[in-house]
Amino acid sequence: MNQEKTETSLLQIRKVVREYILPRQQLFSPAKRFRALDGVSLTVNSGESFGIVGESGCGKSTLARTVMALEAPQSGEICFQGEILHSLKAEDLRRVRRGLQMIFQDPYGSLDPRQSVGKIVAEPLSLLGEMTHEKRSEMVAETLENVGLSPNDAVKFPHEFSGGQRRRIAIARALITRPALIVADEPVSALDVSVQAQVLNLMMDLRDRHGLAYLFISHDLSIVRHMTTKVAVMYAGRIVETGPTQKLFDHAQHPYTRALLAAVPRPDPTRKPQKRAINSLPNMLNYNLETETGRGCAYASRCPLVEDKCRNSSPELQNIQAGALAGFENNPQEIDHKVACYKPYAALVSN
Amino acid sequence: MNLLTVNNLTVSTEHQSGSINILDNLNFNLERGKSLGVVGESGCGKSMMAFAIMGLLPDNMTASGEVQFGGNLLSLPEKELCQIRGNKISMVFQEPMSALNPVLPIGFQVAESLRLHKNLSLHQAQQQASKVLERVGLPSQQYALSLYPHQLSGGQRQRVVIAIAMACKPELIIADEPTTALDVTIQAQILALIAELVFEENMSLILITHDLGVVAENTDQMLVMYAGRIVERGPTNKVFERLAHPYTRGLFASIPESENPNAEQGLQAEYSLTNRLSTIPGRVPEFWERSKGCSFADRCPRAQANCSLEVPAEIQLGAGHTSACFFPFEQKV
Repeated sequence: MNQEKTETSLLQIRKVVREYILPRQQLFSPAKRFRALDGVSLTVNSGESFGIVGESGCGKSTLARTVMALEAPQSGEICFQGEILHSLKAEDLRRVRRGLQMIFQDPYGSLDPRQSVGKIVAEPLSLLGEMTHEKRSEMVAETLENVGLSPNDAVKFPHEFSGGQRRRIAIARALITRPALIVADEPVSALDVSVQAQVLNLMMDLRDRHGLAYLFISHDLSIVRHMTTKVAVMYAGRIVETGPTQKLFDHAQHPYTRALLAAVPRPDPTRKPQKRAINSLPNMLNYNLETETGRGCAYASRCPLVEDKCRNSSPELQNIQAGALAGFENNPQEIDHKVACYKPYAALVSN
Repeated sequence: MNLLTVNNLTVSTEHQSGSINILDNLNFNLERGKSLGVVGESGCGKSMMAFAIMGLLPDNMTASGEVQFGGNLLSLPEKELCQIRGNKISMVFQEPMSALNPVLPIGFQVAESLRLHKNLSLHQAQQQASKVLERVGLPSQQYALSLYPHQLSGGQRQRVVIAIAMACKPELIIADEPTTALDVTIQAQILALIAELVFEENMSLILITHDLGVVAENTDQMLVMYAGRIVERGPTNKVFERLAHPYTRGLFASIPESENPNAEQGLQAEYSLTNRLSTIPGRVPEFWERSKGCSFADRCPRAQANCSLEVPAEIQLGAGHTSACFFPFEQKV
């Protein structure tokens, strides 16, 4: 990590490991551990949208909770605006938190049904210290307008709103402290597509207007493609491929990324006759438990290209060799695109 | 030869403001061995249509019209309906966790419909069940039969639900959002499995979903529903060629592109304000808020005065392709 990069980057995640201890199978057997995050590193610069994709159980939400300092990593560190989150005292953490807000996955579970919208949205203002009542309601009104709701909505309660409007309330609550980074964990799941598009447009407008950075977590590849400039694909607690969104989607290298992209149904009936190759994919959750840490690629058991080497040692994230790849002829400088695989697509093509 | 014919199916319920139609005059038919996709956003009546066909409507709703499947299902007494349900027509439900009984082993649950409809003993039925489970990709022996739903992953549970639906080799399967809660890779497996089973047994399929991609890749015919009415229908490829109804077009346009058509031409400009998704303003009306005329009128970019006054009739656009709109789009852009 060179020095200039540290200065501009807003959030740095360095080799974060988060394990959960599972219930014992038998009284005296050693407890098994589930490694939800296994050495994850990434950097988000200010004003940048960084996407995290992967299937359920790959550690996306654990990553979000760890970034929000709701959970402490077992090892590694998370550095936000130059401060290491889990080493801060509670008081300092509150100060840092105004720059760091979250939009939760479930807009029903995350809004208190007994509080008015005004109260819900004003809650994070306590992080900013003492404030007059007038100032407070002024900020609430302004923020509600910002997300496309009416200031009069502040006296209403969550049950009076539709799913899309609840998302707007959740966004308003995250926005009111004027954070530098918003962690959005599946912000549009369970919304109808027309409403989903409204919420996504709102998030993009807010980003452009306030210079927000997003850590955008989703299992929907087309949304991540639309919303982000950089992306990391996670599998079983590790990042298997990362890079600028368009490059990664157009020239996916890891077999898992390719499988994910191939599985997305597209609204194009002419694509129907092509049989999509889906290999039998065992459950990833079981897999995290079975592998000894540090041995073999987690994707080996599902991978169509697996070799002995993959089962024995796990590949590190590496830059894709510039220039030599299919599709990169025009752009030999490109070095941001990294993949953790012994047999990336480009190597197969060039052979 | 039509397997299922639905004529003037109307489902109504009592509301403070009087009797309200949740489904309004649905007409469609389905041939044997064909698949029909039903798309629309939540609240448009997709699931209600499935429940009406299955005779599973909640008590406060009444269905009128005809559902011809051999005889008119709506007029059959409950006892006879029980012999059709799960036997000739079966349903794959949306949430596999709540569709399965958590305290019974899956083998018992798959065997249940076999015992009921095929008069098999528990032992015979369980043997048959293990074959069905193997068929849906849960390789069994006695082991799989004794598993409980909580021991399975989401995709495996959905396979069990499919096994239950398939056990009696029905003629018609209604799959109500069968893959909503699943990851894309698992979704692809489940859809491939359904397609394969339907093809092998020459069953008909009604696939209810909100995902246009799923419909495009898996069905022959499709219906687009909005606020209890069919707004566009036709062969799937024809509908996608033209996207005649403004609602269909709006739905299509709200989906972010997952594939870059210009991928080969190098990199595009960074995302910015210009890269907005097109949206449909407003939201789906609740069933008691529906207007007198076309219910899409107040969200529609092409609406004119008469749209909110009278319900547009379906007009023919081509072989079997119709749209209920006064001002349908001509060409896909």
